[in-house]
Amino acid sequence: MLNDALRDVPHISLLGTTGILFEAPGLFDLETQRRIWSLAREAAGWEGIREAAPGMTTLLLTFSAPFREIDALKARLEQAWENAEPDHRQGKLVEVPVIYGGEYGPDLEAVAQAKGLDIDDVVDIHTAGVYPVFALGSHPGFGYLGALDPRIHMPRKKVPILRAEAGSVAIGGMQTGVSSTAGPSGWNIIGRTEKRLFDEQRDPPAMLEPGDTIRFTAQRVQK
Amino acid sequence: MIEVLTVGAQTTIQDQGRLGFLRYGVGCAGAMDAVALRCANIWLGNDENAAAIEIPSFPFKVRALADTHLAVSGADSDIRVDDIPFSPWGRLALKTGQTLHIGAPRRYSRCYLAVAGGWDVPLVLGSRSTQNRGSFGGLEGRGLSMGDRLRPISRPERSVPLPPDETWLGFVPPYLALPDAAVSQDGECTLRVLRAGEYGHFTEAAIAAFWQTPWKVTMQSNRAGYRLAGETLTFQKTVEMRSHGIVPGVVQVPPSGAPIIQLSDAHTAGGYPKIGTVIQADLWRIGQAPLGSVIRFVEVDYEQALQALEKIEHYLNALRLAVNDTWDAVSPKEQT
Amino acid sequence: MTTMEDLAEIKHLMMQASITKLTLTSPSLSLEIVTAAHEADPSLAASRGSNPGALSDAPSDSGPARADKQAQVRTVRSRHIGRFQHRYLTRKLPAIIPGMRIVRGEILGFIRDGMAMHPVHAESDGTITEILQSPDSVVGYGTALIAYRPCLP
Repeated sequence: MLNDALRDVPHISLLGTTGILFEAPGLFDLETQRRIWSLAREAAGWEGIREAAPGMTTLLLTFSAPFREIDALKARLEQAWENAEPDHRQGKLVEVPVIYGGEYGPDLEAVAQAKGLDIDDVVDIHTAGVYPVFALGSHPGFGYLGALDPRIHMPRKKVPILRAEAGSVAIGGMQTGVSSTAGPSGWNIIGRTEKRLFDEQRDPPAMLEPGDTIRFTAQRVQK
Repeated sequence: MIEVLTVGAQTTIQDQGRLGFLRYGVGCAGAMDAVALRCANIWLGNDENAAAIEIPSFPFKVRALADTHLAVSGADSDIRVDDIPFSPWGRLALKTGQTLHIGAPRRYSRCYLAVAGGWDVPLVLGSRSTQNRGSFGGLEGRGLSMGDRLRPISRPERSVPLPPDETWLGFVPPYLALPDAAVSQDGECTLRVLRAGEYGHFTEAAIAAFWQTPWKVTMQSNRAGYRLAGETLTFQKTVEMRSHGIVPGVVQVPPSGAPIIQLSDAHTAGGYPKIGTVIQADLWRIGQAPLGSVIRFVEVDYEQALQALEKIEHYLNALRLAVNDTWDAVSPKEQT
Repeated sequence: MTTMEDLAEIKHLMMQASITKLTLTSPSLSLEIVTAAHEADPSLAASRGSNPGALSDAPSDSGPARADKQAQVRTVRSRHIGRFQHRYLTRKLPAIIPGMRIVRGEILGFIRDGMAMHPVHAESDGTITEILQSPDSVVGYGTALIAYRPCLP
């Protein structure tokens, strides 16, 4: 979806011969995402599909072997989307204690300035939110969260940094999220938590599931 | 069992990858040149997904602490056994105390060291590949260090896997057997690409530049992605896309306009526009393209992309048959 | 045209042939090649005349002054049927050349038989005197492939 221009039909495209990407029409909201969860549950069981991995009102299907009947698959996806009812699952609430700002949130000040707010305002707005987990992706255990207050939307950085520490809490575009591992990031890092939401020895390895909710609490605000 | 004597950065244990965990944000990792990995395993009679050591930095030197059957595939490095020049692209028998030295390749960039039985490291989420972000899998989730000892998984059902008097046996590499995949004389690597979702939203000039530019693989390239330099690709409108899943081979174009080919250690989702996807059958060639080398893209359709995959399977089938012949040459009582 | 890659290969070949110094001067081209043997034993140079290490047409094994140090030329023979290949299939310059020092066990080339490449090993330390088969030529059991002069202990 481009510039969040609202389509009224899904956009389906190929990712080489490895997978197919479904982008839902309509608003970037939880209702649309609930239908993506339903679509994912159904498509995961289709023959030839290795995995259904939801994104933000998007769904990636990977193939277990080179997939021949692509046109039929596209039609099947479109039909399944038509029929997809919102999945009204109730997940668990996860609290994430955060140290905001200072060395742990190097971009907090920039976000505040860009939005014409105080640092405390940004923290208040961020901690007031109740964030549904739309999907997991990007890196191990990372939850894409919805419902970020538009007052603190902030575009991804032009030049990503090489290493954001594990536990980084950040804002990227209309989304906010928390990482459990260190790695590069193009998001604006506003704080850090000690809580880890991924353990590769567990089954399932991620603590978050689509449908859960996250609340951030301010352990401390550094300026 | 082997002991690592000399090793460079980013030398990791990889199998074909960790598949089926994208919905947890876990990418596939795996060998950058999966064809070389599979070849080495086929020569040794391994499961094709047995774990090998991926070597992108040289020299690499190990000592055998027990009699070991190994295989070296991938780039055309100088191979030495106890300082005696051998050859890459083959399996070899190393006796206790002997050393194996793999030098910098003349062409291409990664070697694979496989062992009969595959390297014995724990399965994590179904794979022995090293997961870079999160540091798990492979050998303790890290690159190899001097002094590390690695043993193969024992295979009691085949205690004499190879002809007992054989010290080395080579096999024809993909560079020769898959000619349409060959690097050209100028060292340029041509990659076949399928259009991706946002192809139609790039300017005409950007599209022309994408297909015509001799893209340089910059020094900022690695297992997560290859960053290319050449032209600036412009989008019709700068956008912030919704995060969506991606796979290795996807060519993203961030606001800077410099394309990035996402690879084995890439993030599993992204929000940048995608201009194309390098076909699965050519991912191994990216894995062998050295830093500073030139890459070009050429368009293919879905059918051609599937055919390219089939060609690789034909080559590997032919290899399996040839390898079986080399065992049949050994008398039955020597094969256990 | 000679590329950077070629230079790396030329340097490698020089090392294998124990050439320690290569000097080119122009115009009218005077070429000097110094080998490790010459450096170790200047009397060898004297026996060839006034120009130490001068490039000559003849391969390295000629010269009566060395006769007492030389063994009989032997040949490495093929043990398979197939096409003869040099070591390093993908490189432009030949990997094995006359004058090159070899060690026992070294892989000099292969006999390609379908997908398999059977190695041609050096049977003892020595110096290659002649490559008897060109790359890609079909050889059979017993075909002479490479002539070499073994080192005496």
